[in-house]
Amino acid sequence: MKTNFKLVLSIMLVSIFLSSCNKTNDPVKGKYQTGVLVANEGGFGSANGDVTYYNASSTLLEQTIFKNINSTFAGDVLQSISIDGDNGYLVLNGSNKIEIVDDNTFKSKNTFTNDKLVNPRYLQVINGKAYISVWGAFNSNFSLTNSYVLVVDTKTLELVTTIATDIGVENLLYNSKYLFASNYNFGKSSTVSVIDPATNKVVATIQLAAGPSAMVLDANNKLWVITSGSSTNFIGNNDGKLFRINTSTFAIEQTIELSANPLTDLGISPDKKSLYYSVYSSVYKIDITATTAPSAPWSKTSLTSLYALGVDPKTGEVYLGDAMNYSSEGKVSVYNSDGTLKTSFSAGIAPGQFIFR
Amino acid sequence: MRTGFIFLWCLLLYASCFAQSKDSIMLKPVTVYGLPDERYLAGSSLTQLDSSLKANERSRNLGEILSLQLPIYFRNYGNGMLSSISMRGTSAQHTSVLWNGININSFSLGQADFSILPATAFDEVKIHEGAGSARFGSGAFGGTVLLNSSSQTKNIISFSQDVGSFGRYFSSLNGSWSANRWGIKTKLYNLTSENNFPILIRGDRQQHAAFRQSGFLQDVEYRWSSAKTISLHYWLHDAYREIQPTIGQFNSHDNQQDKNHRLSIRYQNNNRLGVLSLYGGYINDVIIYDSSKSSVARWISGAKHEFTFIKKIQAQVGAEWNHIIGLIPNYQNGKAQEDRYDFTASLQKNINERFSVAVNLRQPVISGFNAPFLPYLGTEYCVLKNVNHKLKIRGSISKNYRVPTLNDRYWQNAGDKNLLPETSHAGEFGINYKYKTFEITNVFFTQKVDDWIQWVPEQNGNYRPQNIKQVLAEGIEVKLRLREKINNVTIVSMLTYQFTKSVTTQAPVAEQYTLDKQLIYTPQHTASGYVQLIWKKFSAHISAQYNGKRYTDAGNSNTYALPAFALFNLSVAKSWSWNNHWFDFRLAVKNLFNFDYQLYSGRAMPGRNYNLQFTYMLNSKPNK
Repeated sequence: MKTNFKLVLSIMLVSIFLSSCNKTNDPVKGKYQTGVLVANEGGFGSANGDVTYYNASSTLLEQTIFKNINSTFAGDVLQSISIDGDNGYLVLNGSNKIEIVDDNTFKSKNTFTNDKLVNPRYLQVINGKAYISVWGAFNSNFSLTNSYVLVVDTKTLELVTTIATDIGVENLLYNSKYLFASNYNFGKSSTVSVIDPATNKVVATIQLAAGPSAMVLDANNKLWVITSGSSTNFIGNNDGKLFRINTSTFAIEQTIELSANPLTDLGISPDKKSLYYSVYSSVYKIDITATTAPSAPWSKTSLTSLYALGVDPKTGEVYLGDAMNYSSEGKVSVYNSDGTLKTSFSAGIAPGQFIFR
Repeated sequence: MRTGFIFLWCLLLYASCFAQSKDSIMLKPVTVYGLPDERYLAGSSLTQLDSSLKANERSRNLGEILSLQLPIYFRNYGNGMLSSISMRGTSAQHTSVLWNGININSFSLGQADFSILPATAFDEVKIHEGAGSARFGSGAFGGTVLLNSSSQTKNIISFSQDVGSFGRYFSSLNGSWSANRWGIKTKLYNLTSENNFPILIRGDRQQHAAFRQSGFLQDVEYRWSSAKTISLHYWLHDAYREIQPTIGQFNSHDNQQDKNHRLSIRYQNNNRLGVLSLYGGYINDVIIYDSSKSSVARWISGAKHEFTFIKKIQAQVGAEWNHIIGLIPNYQNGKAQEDRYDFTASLQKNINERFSVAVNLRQPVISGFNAPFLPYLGTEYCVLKNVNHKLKIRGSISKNYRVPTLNDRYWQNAGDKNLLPETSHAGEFGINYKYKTFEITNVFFTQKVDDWIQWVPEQNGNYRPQNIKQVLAEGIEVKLRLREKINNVTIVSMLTYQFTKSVTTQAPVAEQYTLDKQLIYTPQHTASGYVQLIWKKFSAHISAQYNGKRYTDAGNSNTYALPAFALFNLSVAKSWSWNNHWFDFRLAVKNLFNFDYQLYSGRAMPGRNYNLQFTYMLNSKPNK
C-alpha cells in the first residue's frame, strides 16, 4: 500500500511539474484568465450591472471587475457574458448594448449598438460572427411582438443579417453544426429554432412545451432543453418539462414531466451524464437515462431567491446564485458534487449567470 | 375608539351651536377670525418658502428649490424626470402635498411627483416639517407641503421669459384684476427643454430626455363683504416627457404624459358666530405611459366651522368626504371605487402670553379596515422675551397614519383591501433663539413607523403588499438665519443642516440583513443654504445644497452607494422701474463647479449650466 501510495504521489508530482511547464509556455494574459465569472444583472433601471470574479483554488474574490478598470459599471441589466478567444461580450439587456472587453483584463475595447439591438439576451460567436438573441421592444401591454437573432461581424461590428425566430428568443447553443435558439417569451412561446450558420436560415422549428430556455449537450451529443412552463394570473401551472432531442433529426426522444415550474437554468455534470435543475430553493439531479423526474431534491438549500445555477465543468461543483431581494448584494453558494455546501461568497446585485474558465 | 371620537366631534358641534345661541341671546358682537395653520400646529415648525428664492427660480419645479432652503432630499430619476421627496428620513409616500387644502398626491402611487409642480403655479408655499396626520390627513409622516392661491387685490400684468442651456425655454404670463366685489387672476406658463446636456462621466450628450410642461390657472373670487366670500381655483397642468434612460443606454422610446385637472371651490362666511367654510373639489390625474392610460378622479366636499369655545379656546371642527374612482388597466375589472370620510377637530388655547397649547384630532372612516384615531398634541413656551432676546421651547407628540395606495389595495392578483394602514408615533422637541435679526432653531425628532407596507415576493415569484416592516427615523436639525444691513447692502442668509438616522427595525424573514440599515436614498447628512446681497437695484444670490452618501440597496452596500455631492448656484440681477413699468434681468449659473452627481442610481444630471431670465411687470399704480 505504502509503495503504491508513493508511486501515485510521484506520478502526481510529475504531472504537476508537467502542467506547470505547460503554464510557463502559455503566458499569463491577465488575472481573469482562469476562475469563475458571475454576471450580476444589477438593479433594474439602476445601470449598475457588473461582474464578480472568483478563483476557487486561491479563493480570490473581486467585485465589479468591469468598473474597477473602466470606472463605470458595465450598464443596465447584465443579462449574460460570452467568451470567444480573448474577447468577452457583455450583453446588457437594459442598456441595449454589447460591451466588448479584453476577457483577461476586462478593459473595454468597444461597444456594439444598433437600432435593432433592443433587449438583447445571449450571444454566441461562430466563425467570427456574433449571433445575438434579441427580444425586441415591448408594446404598451408589456408584451413582446417581434424577436430575432442578429448576426454581427465581430471584426467590423457590421450587421450581417437578421434571422426571424419565434417571440422571446432566449438561450443559444452551438453544437458545431447548428445553432439552437430557444423561444421562451415568459412561457408563451414553446419552440426551439434551429439555425444553420452556413446559410443563416432557420432549418427547423422544434415544437416543445411552454417556455423553452436553457439547453445543454449530453455525453451522447443529445440536446437537452428545459421548459419552465406556463402560468395563469401569475400562478404557475406546474407544467415544466425536460426534453431530449436528436440533433440530426430534431426528433424528441424523451419527455420528462417535472410537475413544477423550474428555474430557466440547466446544468450538466463534467461527465455529461447528469443534469441539474432547480425549483424555488431546491436543486434536483437527474440522470440522462431517466424517464421520470426525481422525487427528492439533490439538495434542499436555504437560499432566499435562487436565481442562477451553474456547474463547474472541471470539478463538478454546483454554483447557485442568490438574488436576495433583487436590489441588494447577492450571494453565491458552492456545493460539492455530493450535495454538501462547500463555501459561499458575496456577489453583485442579482447574480444571474456563471462562466467557468 | 372611533365611535368615541365621533361622539366627541358631535359634542363639539353641539357646543358650537350652543355658543352661537348663547351669543345670539346676549347680542354681544364678537369678531371671530380664522386662525392660521401655525396656531393649531403649536409645537412644530411651518416654514414659508422664501419669496425671493421663489421669484428668482420661478421657472423651476418645487423639488429644485425646496432642497435649497430645507434639508429635504429629492430622488430624481434624471433631469426633469420623476422627482420623489424624502423628509425626515421617510419615503416619498410619507409627505402629503395639499393644494388649497386638497391632497394632490397620486392616489394610485401614494406620492407626489415634484417635477410637475412648477413654482410659478403657487402664490404661497409652506412646508410643515414632521408628522401631522391629525391636521393634514393620510400620509403626513415626514412632512406636508401646503400650496395655496392667494386672493388678489392689485391690478398687475406681468410677463417672464427664461432662456437656458440645453434648449430650455420658459414663458409665463400673469394678469390680475380687482374691481368692486370681484378679484380675478389668470396665469399661463410653458416650459420646454431639449435636455440634451453632456453626461460628464462619458462626454456624450444625454439622449431621449426632452420635456414640455404647460399650464393654466384661473382664480375667481367674489366678495359680498369683507366677511363673506366665494372663491374658485382651477389649475390645468399638461406635461409630456421622454423618459430619460440610464447612463449609456441606447434605443430608448418610453415616454410619459401627465394631465392634471384640479378644481377647488370655497365659500367662507366669517361672522360673530365664527368662520364657516364649505368647500368642494374635483381632481383628475391622468398618466399615459407609452400608450397605456391610467386615471384617478376624485370628488371632494367638506365643511369646517371655527369658533371660540368656552374659556377662549379656539376650536375648529370639520368633516370631509372623498369619492375616488380609479381607472387603471391593472386593477380587477380595470376599476376601483371607494368613499372615504374624515372627521376632524382642532383646539387651540393661549394659556398666557408665553404659553400655548394645541390639540388636533382626526377620525377617518375607510372601508377595509378600522382606521385609527389620530391625535396631535403640541405646546410652545416662551422662556425669555425682551427687546433683543427671545428664547422659545416647543414640543409635540402625535399618532399618524397612511392609507395603503389604490395599487396596494386593488392591483390584480396582488392588492389587498384589508391591508392595514401604516401608523406612526412621532415626537419632537425644539428650541428657538432669536437675537435681534439672528435666529437659530434646533429640533430633535423621532418617529416609529409600524406596519410599513412592502411588496414581498411569494415563493412563486408573485409580489404582494404586506404590512411587514417597521422603521425608526430619528434626527437633529439646525437652522440658522441672519438678516443684516451693512451700509447700503442688505444681507439675507440662511443655513440648514439635518442628521437623519432612518433604519429598518423589523423586516420580512428573508430580509433580516436589512435590520439596523439606513433606508435607501436617505442621506444621513443633508445641508443647504443661501446668501442674498441686495444693493440698490442690484442683487446677487448664492445657494448651495449638500447631500451625504446615499445607499441604493437595503443592505447598505458601499459598492452601489452614491457618493456625497455639493451643488452651488450663483445668480446676479438688476432691476429698473419707470412709472408703472418694472423690468428685471437675472443671469444664473447652476452647478457652478460642474460636479458630476446622481440623485438616482444610473441617471445622469447636468453639469454647469446657464439661465437668463427677463421679467416685465405693469402696475396700475406707479412703482415707488
